[in-house]
Amino acid sequence: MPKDLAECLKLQTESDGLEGYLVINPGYDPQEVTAEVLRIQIQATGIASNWIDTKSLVEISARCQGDSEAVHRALVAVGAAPTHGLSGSFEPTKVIQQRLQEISHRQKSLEELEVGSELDDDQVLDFRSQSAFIFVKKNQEIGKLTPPTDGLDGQDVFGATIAAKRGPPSSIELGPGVRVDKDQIVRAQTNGVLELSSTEISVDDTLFVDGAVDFATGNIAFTGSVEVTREVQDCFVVESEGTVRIGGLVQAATIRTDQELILDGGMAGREKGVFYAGGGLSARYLDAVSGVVHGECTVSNEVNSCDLTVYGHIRSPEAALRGGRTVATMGMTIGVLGGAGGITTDVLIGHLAEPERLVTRTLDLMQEVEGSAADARARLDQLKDNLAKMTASQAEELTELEFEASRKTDLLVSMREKVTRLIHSVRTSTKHTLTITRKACQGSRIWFPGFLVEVRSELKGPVEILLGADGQIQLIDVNSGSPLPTDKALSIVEDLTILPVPSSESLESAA
Amino acid sequence: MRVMLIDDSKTMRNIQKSILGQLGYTDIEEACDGQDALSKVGAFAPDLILVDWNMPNMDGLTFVKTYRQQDNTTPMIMVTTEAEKSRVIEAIKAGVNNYVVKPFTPDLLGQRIDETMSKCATAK
Repeated sequence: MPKDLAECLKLQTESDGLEGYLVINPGYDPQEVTAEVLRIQIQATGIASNWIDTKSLVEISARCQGDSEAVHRALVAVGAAPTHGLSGSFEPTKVIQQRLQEISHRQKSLEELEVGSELDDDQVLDFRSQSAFIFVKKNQEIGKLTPPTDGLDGQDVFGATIAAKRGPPSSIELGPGVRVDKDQIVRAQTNGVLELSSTEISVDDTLFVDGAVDFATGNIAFTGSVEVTREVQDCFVVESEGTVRIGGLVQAATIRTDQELILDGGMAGREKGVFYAGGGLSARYLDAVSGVVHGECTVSNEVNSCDLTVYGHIRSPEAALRGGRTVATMGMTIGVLGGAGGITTDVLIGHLAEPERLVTRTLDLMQEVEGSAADARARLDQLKDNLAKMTASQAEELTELEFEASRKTDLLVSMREKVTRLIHSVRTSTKHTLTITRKACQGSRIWFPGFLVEVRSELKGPVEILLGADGQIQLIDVNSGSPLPTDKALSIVEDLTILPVPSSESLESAA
Repeated sequence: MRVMLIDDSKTMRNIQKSILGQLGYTDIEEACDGQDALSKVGAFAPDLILVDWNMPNMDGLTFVKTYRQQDNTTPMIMVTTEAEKSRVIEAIKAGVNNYVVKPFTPDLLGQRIDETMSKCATAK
């Protein structure tokens, strides 16, 4: 006697209820087994009708009818799996991505070079000129943040909801120097160097190089301050709008800063090294370099064979200055001036080349204008004296001469005002004192406005050589404050290498 | 202030223009004789006219008379070599407000302009 079909049916679920399998054990009447009957039986177990696979029911019922002694199993219902949410992400802009690729490529190329191999010219140029850093400007777009998504819930074969998981947030954190706007765009808050890793984005307005400036870094041109822990190698360039500090030795390189320059390891330029400091300079030593300093200059050890122009004061009471040419616009305090062995050491005190040149040129031009005005006046007076009755054209000529004379007088007044201001500016921007704390060696040459002073024999310090208020060179014992005779130690001659700027009184009387 | 310069000599006009420039007057129209001036004065509507006497086509005195006959009250200064007293009186009767004899210094011309404008302002 055949069993009730329901007793022969068993429903199995797998994959967390996403799959429903029908198992039909023998003992049933094969005539009863149709797709429709099986559907009704399955639905009675709670399987949602929309997930039932009709084709599968047809197939299994055919098998049952064909062989009622075997156990038959088929997948008859499939639910909908949940779609879990996507995780948050950060995508850099195309510009930043390109820079990242360039830096990565550059790094690989460097690593692939054999140790000790010579670089050809193209490679040298490439590695120097390509920076290993990404510099960004304030408000520049760095990339876009995409938030995580919620996902889509699924259903098991019984119609129960299988909740989708929300995607995890991005692993990247926003560090200092960046902000996110309302469109989820990450932007730089300041000009600076971009630091981008898998966990953090930040922009720093100081570039910190933990190492040397060499082929690994390339040249540096940065809007912020730069700090380098080690050396700067030959022929590399460091440019900054902020302060530059170099921990190691600077070799035959170029350093340019709009602000202060600090050379903790000194600079040995081998006559090729150059620096420019928009502010002050502090250095351990300088050897065979050329440089310009707009602020105060402090060297702790020595200055050898350099070409220096310092618009501030050189304040190095423990240092030695040997060889080369040094301009100290606001005076100098030095330990030892000059050296033995015939080295010539040239120092120019209180020299401001460009304004002095302008004063000279203006004074020359004033003389020309004065001469021309005098000529016009003389002609005018001559015409007035000689004419009893003027014709119209003579009256015109006279008017023209009056006009020319008047114009030149006005021009002279204007030039005098301007050159007086310029002279005042030169006076207040220069100081004419050289303080030597230990000694000045024979052969040292010091220029002051209007004079050249040569050290004839070693001069022991502490002494001051200065241009006095009387316009003469004085030698002062620093300890006592008393003047010393100059004739033994110094040779003083008139010299116009540094122009003696005229006094306001002499300018007025010349006019 | 708009100033019209009427003189047949370009040199004189340049000198006067330069002096006026130093005084701050840069809106200037030039005419080379009385006829030329009459054709331009209506459109330019100057606040002051500097006029020479001896010019071709129409001399300065004729221009002054013609201009005043049109009920124009714009201040006028005659700038001329004519220095005789009778000539000065003739010019003033014709309608000029002031008189400068050539050769003149820039300061003198400046003074006359200031005087003239000052008097005319008071009269209004």
